[in-house]
Amino acid sequence: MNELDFLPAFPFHFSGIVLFGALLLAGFCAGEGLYRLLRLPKVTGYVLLGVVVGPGVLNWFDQYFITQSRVFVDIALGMLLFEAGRYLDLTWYRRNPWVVAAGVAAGVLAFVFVLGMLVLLGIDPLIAALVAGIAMSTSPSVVLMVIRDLRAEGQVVERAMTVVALNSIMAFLAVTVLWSGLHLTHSVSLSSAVAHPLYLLAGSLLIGLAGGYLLLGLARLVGPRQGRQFVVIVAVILLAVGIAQVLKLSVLISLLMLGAVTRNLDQLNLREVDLLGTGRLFIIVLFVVVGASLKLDALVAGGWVALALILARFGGKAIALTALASTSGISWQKALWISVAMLPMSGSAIVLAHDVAAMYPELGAQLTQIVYAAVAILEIIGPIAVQFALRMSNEAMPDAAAGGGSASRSVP
Amino acid sequence: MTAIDPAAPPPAPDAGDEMNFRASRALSMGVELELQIVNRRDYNLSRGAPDLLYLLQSVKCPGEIKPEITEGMIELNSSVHERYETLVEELRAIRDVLVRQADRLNLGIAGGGTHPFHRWSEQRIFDGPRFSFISDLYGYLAKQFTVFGQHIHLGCPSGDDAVYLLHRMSRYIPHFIALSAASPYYQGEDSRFQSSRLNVVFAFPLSGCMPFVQSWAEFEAYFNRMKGFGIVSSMKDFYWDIRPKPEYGTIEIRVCDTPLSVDKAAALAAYAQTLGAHLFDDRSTQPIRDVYEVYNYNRFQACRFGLKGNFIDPYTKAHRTLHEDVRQTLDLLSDRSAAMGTELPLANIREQVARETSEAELLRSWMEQHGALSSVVNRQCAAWRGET
Repeated sequence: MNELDFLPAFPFHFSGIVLFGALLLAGFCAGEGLYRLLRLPKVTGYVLLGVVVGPGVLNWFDQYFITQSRVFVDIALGMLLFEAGRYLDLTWYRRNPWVVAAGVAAGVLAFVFVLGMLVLLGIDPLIAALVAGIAMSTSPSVVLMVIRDLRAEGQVVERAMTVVALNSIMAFLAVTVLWSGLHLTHSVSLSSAVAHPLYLLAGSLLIGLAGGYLLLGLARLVGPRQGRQFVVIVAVILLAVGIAQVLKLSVLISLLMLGAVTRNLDQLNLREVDLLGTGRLFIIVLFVVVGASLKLDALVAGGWVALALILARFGGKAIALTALASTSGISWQKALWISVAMLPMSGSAIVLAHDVAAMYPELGAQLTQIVYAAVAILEIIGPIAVQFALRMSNEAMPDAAAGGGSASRSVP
Repeated sequence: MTAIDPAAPPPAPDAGDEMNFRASRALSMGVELELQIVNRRDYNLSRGAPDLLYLLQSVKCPGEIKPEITEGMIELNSSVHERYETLVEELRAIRDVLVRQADRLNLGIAGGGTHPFHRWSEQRIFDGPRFSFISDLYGYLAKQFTVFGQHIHLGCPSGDDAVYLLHRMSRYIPHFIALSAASPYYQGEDSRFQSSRLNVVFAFPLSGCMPFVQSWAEFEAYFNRMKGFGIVSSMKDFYWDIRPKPEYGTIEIRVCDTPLSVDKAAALAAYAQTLGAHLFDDRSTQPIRDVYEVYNYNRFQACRFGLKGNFIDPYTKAHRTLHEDVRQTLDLLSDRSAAMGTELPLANIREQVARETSEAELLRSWMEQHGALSSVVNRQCAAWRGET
């Protein structure tokens, strides 16, 4: 036996705790620092930190660690998507269906514009359709976190979240259907091409529904104290995420559904709890991982097409939303700010593109380049755009430094 | 925030001799209601007034809808009415327009004298010169002034009549406080008061009562002295419980909490009108200074205990409960209310008095039932819409 056995072996094997702590500290500093110095959204700080320490640059936070962070990322996503779902108010949509119509129109027009533009640029139509489907979506996580950090509220906030949820669902549906189409053209059986999207949709909705009823029942049992309700809510969210993953269903749809069900079925017993305040721990990790996963070299290969995609996507949403602005009860200026707030694109787009590329390499290469590049651009400027939109529409709380009670501009 | 000069007088209103009392039909009435605009997620006060007013611009509506000092408030004004039936009909119509537009924005409208859990520090001041002035001068009081009241206007044929009626009506102010009380919760706590709203009003230096002047000329002299001191520039600077409004030709009763429904608001106006008509015609009793000696005591009792509070009659020196005093007054008014068409609202008031309760107690019962103040506000919104 060696006399020095009590000493730790070198090199050290850092566990998850060290990883989590280091990420949290670094992310927090990056977020707060950038906010204080440049007034940029904290989310951008987290993402940029991820870019810097990730495989693209320093590679301190390499692929191994990215995989290790999976749990934290899932927890964060669960909370964010649940909160996003809680913005969906069916009573409102019943009283003012134009809000929904505007959201659907935004998704459809974005799809059409992106599809058209990509085809014009000579991209294979099926690939273009898949990209267009992905491009319909907006990242609920980014939009929600910026809203939250600015303590924003108002029509732009409420409608932006509605459009985000609608477009994410539409994108999901479009991509699953188109993917089935892809399977068909590569001669996979019709039944499995139909069964898969059906399974995904029905299964995810079911998880959301079941989880919602469970949560409401527990909330009633536990009583109105916020502390108790918080625990119950987080527990059910985590269960929903885990079960959706095991059953190979959509975490996005399940959790949106969960949030929406709890919002709409019982307003009197489930309290509003501050999920994202405590959840920030995990949310920092989420966005650092997002930053680390960005493929910046794709910008070189697919940068221009990606820019065109971004412009077409913005154009589609902006035209749809401003056209329906006054019918749905807001000014066209506010509708424009909603469109700007729709810029962020979800990192899950990368996952989708990656999956397609894995199955169909000859088609996939083009697809992934464009999507990676677009996501890279939007993960960085997206949060800034949302912050800009919320400030310009006067829905963000003025900075505390500006003095409480400063006069607001009346909008529009 | 621009620095304010503490010695500068308030901004003066636009031209026109404000103190010229415009003759009005005796005991015509009008109602102003300050309402809460809440978001339908956590039922906290929203900042939705600008969005709501934007929509209301292009919609036809009787009466008038105006912004108030903070963005979570909105003010509903009726037109002038001779009779209760037309008033209540118009208020319901305005309410319907307001609710329909608020629905488009997913905003809730609620009555009640305070928002039960809103933190005053989170409010934003509406953009406008007078509001900015108040915010600069009064500091945190301006934000705390996010309280919601009903103002009842009663027409008077002359300034002298207005002074007379005001002093006679002062004895009955505790009635209006106790009957309308609907602000038991403030800043998330049970204040133990029936109406905690009036404590906020009382914090302003220019609150209280009109001095015991005997004629309009005497009042004008007083006003000009105050103006000369630079303390006030217009009638708006006084936050009295009852205040003359010369440009409308009315006296304005300002102590009521906004009730939870327009029907209750119309009922309170009807009571004021019937009572005012009685006081106006019955000149056998004159105003006495003693009213103002017991005024603060009676007022506190009404705010704190509502109809169960103690009332000291300044004319007879007798003590009785407030609900007994209201009942006696209702008995006095029964013939007159038949002639004026206010029997129905006064019957509702009589019923409330018999149960010795208030909307404040109703709010407390909702809290008891649901355990959360956000649910209480949820119920307030339903009550405002006319759903039970």
